[in-house]
Amino acid sequence: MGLIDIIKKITQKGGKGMKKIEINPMTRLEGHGKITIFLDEQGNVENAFLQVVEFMGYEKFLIGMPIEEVPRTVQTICGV
Amino acid sequence: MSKPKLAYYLAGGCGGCDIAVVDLSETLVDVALQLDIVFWAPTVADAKYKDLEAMPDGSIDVGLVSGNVRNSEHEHIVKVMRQKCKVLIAFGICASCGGIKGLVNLHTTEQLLDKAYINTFSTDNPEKILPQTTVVVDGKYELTLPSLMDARPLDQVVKVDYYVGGCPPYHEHIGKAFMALLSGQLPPSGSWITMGKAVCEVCNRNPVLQGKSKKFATTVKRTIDGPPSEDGCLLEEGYLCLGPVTQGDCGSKCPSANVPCRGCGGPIPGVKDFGLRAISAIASMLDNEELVDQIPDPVHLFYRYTLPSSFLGKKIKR
Ligand code: SF4
Ligand code: SF4
Ligand code: SF4
Repeated sequence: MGLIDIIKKITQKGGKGMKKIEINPMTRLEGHGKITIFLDEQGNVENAFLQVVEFMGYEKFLIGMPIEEVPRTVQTICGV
Repeated sequence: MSKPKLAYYLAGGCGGCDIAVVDLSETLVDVALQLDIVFWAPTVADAKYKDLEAMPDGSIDVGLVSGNVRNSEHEHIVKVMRQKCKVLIAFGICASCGGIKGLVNLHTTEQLLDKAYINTFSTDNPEKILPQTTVVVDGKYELTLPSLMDARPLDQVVKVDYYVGGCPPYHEHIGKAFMALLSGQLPPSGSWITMGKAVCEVCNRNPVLQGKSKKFATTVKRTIDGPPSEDGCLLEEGYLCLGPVTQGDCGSKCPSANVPCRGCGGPIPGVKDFGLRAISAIASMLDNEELVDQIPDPVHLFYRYTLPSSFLGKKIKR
């Protein structure tokens, strides 16, 4: 399969008829991420975005926890 | 015979469970040689969700899911995992009971987002911008995000065949679990994979194992109140250790490092609601009722790892 065919296979219509490639998930890391690439009519990259798709909430749920318990709790923000 | 196929998906977790599997090192080499790893995302293999979706239903022998189910993407992929995998394992305490990250259920999504994105000392967000499920940048680039929901353990979304406790599961225990899996020596579907002993039963500090009896605690202490004795039971000394009600597949790692167990191993066999059982176990070890009022921050203590799987579940909001 040539490069053009591969691009045809993985692209889909983005907003306003634009071609869009989604790389989901980004791999070999923790903290789920997604890359979205938009192509112009010639098939060149027009814009690309990285999104961190995960939200946890430690900022809020830690409130009230005894301080000595915090280190063993926040270590689960990322375990890699 | 072809090798059993394995898939691993990290949902709302931290990757620590993945690393614990990788930590098996030599055992993993033996195990990995016997397995065909067809999907392990996002952490270890370069596989995409579309690859998993394209696999035939029921074509994967064993699926492991770590992390809880916290957004619409997790929900979708765990359902795909269930379709593709013959045996599905909730791996680690997030997937089994909700985990530390399940403490989000104490609050509404609005409260959580407000704290993280607007009202912290170090945040500068005058326009109060919050994550949106769909946003169109510059009027033409449409981007999407999964929608947030209360945290759920895996079994509140799909049928789970086995549970493995730990945050993360202890590597020697994972080794044993994999060996049991490969040799087909598994307990009945729906069970925890555990040696079935409480942390206390494998704890060097346990007076009962030294032929003595356990004494009631006459004070309630925090670890900042000073170090415990070298070999006495932490709970007797007033440090609220959840060893009596926690599965001890870690080999009592925390008490042997002078810190009380917080329950990451999951409930001992036969216990449905870890927090409730922990409250009654600790209360029964205290010398008098007044000490109960001195327990600091009981919700974060007793439900540290299991809030979403508890009867309290999603009901309490602060
Ligand atoms: S159980 Fe612990 S180590 Fe595993 S994903 Fe959850 S927070 Fe991380
Ligand atoms: S309560 Fe804690 S310190 Fe005491 S015996 Fe049990 S696990 Fe060990
Ligand atoms: S002692 Fe308790 S909190 Fe510590 S690793 Fe073992 S089960 Fe988890």
